[in-house]
Amino acid sequence: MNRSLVVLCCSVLRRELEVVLQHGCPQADLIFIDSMLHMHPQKLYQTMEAILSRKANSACLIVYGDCHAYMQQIERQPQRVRTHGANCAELLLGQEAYKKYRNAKAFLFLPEWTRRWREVFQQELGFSDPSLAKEFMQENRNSLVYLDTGVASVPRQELQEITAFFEMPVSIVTIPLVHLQRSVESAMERLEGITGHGS
Amino acid sequence: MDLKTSRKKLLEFIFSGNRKEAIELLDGWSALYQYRSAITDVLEPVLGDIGELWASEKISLAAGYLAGKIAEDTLLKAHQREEILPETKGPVVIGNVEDDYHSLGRKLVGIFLRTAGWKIIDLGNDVPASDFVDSAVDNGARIVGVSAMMFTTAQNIIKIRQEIDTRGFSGRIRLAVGGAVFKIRPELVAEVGGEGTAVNAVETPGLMEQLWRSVDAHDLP
Repeated sequence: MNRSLVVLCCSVLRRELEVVLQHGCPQADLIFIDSMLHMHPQKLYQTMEAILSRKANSACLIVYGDCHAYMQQIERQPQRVRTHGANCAELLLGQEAYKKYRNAKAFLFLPEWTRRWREVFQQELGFSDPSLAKEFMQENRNSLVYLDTGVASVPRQELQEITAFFEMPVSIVTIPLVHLQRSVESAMERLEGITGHGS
Repeated sequence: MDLKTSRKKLLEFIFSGNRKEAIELLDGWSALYQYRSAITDVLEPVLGDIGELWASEKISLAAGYLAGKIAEDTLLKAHQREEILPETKGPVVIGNVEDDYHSLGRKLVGIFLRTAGWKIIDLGNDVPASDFVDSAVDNGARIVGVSAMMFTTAQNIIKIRQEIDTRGFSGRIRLAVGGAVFKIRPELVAEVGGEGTAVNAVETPGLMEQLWRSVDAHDLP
């Protein structure tokens, strides 16, 4: 079967996915949705559904976690497969490492969100008051961790600003893209099984 | 300032992140009418509005968090002055299901239940199924209230249903469920084995009354 392939992904993983896919499926139609929609699950669902409806004749690989209440319905449609993982951090870290960080109550900063941290915390989440932001973060998290995926230089200026804003240090952890790659490859194999679409 | 204006002002203060003014408003009302009135007449209706706004994604995480902190502060003062209803009902065990870390809704539920006189045992976030049932048994709770925000974490509630059933507590420990995903997809309540839900935190005392009465006292664990 010779169908076109659409890869629908959150912009938070844009650069990482482009690296993972650069040799795998260069002909894929990559579509990225603004990661700020993570804070608006209904809008995210509507946006995803609108895009996928327009691409109804294509095989679709959905690179997303469980980011809205209807993700399972979306992926149950014919010719659609979603990566395994509860969220973008788990896609990058793999289940075991992600659980370790989660149990340690670490807040994980991905590169894209780190560059947009003011937009995330001050505009989208409403923490314009640093004292409230600090109280919230320190009450709910034990540490802040930046995941250096290697696709961009470490944004040291932003990390300093984050440290000052929450009055918590940010540790930098370098991670390979192997887990994301495996998750995408696994999803691609399942998609191939359904649609006959090879990578 | 009359009651209607006080509620309106409190909501405005919370929305604008003005914690100091919000607490002063509640303290001022309490000085005139006691903290019990500040909680039931001013704070609770405002928290109810906030719960609705939260469910419809019309309020920021910061405002929701601030509302919870203001409520905690007021409840603490009321307790210190013994101006709050004694804990004559319950206990009820509450917590976020395994893998779920979205605590705001659970905290609001705890506040509303405490102000309504319920004794609450809050197990926090990411609670394994067995811990819910163990705590209910240890404390003689007839209800376990479980919160989940996302679809996948809501699926973990099935483990609590199974834990209740396999340990022989069906009908003796009721399973209440709540969280954003149940508001969007109410059919999930039954799918995960829930025996009741509330559309917002304000409605939870009524739900607990109903579930508590549905348990035969002779069959308690």
